[in-house]
Amino acid sequence: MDYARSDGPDKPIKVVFSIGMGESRFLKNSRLVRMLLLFAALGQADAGDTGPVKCRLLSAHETYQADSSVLVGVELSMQPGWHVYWVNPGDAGMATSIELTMPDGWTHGPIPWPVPIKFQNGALRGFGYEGDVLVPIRLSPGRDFGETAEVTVKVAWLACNEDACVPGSAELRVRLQPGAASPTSAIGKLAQAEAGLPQEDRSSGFSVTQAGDSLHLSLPASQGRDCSKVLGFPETSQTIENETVRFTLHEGVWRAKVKKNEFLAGEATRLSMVIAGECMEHPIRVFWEKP
Amino acid sequence: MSPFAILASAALALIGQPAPDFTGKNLKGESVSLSDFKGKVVVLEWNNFDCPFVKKHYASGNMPKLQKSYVEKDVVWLTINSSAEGAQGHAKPEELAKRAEKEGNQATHYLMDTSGAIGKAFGAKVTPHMFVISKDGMLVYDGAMDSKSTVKVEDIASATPLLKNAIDAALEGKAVENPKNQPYGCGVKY
Repeated sequence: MDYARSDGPDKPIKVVFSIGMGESRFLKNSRLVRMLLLFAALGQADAGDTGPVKCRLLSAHETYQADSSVLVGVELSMQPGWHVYWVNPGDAGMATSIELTMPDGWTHGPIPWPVPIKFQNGALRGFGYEGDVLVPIRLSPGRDFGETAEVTVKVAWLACNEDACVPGSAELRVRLQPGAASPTSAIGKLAQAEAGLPQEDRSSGFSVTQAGDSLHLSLPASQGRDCSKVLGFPETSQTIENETVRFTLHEGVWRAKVKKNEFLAGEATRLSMVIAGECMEHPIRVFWEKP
Repeated sequence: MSPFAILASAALALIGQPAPDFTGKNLKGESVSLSDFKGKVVVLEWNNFDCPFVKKHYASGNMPKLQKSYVEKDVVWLTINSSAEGAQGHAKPEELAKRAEKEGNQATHYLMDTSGAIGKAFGAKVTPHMFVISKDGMLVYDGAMDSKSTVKVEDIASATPLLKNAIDAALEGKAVENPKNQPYGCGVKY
């Protein structure tokens, strides 16, 4: 197995430089830009840790086998104060995207985004990630073709702090050899990230009723879901207000009243949410569609 | 929500209502008011040249092209900068004048709104957030440049041109089909 990386067409370093050259006092004085200048001087612009976001591709194994899945992961590490966005970015920003190119016959499911956090900048609310986030992705190899399998991942993000936004992208590659399972040092970290992912629950009983500009959400507190605290994040954009939804337990049902999103014309027709509670074994993704 | 926020949101411009009048200084220091342009279609564009979404529409030539073609049709185009001092996008008027020229900005006026008063009166959230005011002074569009909320230049061609459609409808005195939608961009750096 080996990794390779290159910056995408819109290299973050270039954008940061153009900001650093006089338009932003904030970035001009930051340690970040001084660091970038140092890297540029040393010719290490593609070291992978330039710009406010560092991006890495991890693999749980150095090998693949035809009949067992392969766990890889994209890790984004943000400088303090910077964030990237969830699939529903909120009032502004841009959803982070991950696209994979794999050998013929290989497949993967939808990109499973971890539970986000909400951030607020003035009146704007957003959902996303600060610090480090690891997105584990399980790949299913096709038949064993006895050759090295190359998996390429294209990641594109918008990173913002309170004063600026900078786009970034990376193209990362991992090569896996056919053969018996040979784990890497990243296996524990990837397994842990995967265990913490929201899991689809199509029979959660999640339902929505609408009254004027309010939506009433309800989720039966069955199956160990009687925590003292349950939070929800709207995955469907432009349906409810971009806030962390705080549910209250009432007669065995988690309930919350939320405001309609200002950009929703008419009634809501569908809503999917990520629900996280401290007593829940793992977060869940719940779905509602207007009957 | 703080009491101030309630007051501020109560002052927001609403679709189908008269657009709130404002006065700002252009880059030459001249006063420009919305009420100067009665009887004309007016476009408001929130700007921060360093925002990647703004770069998308300038680097591609999309924004300058729209500005030029509509100013030629007697539309008044006001590019407004509400970045606070020290925040991304803010600069002195003389520096912004050079930058606007370099970026190909063809607006009727480029207005400074460092206090954020105009931005907050309209509820401008992001750059570029676009508004259209009809010939009779009503707010008829509040939304995005187009339907594809990305920073990729190549997405412009295949996106629904929401702003362009709104200006065309306003010029013909027709109702705008999608008058309010979520604008995409960087948060306005108030």
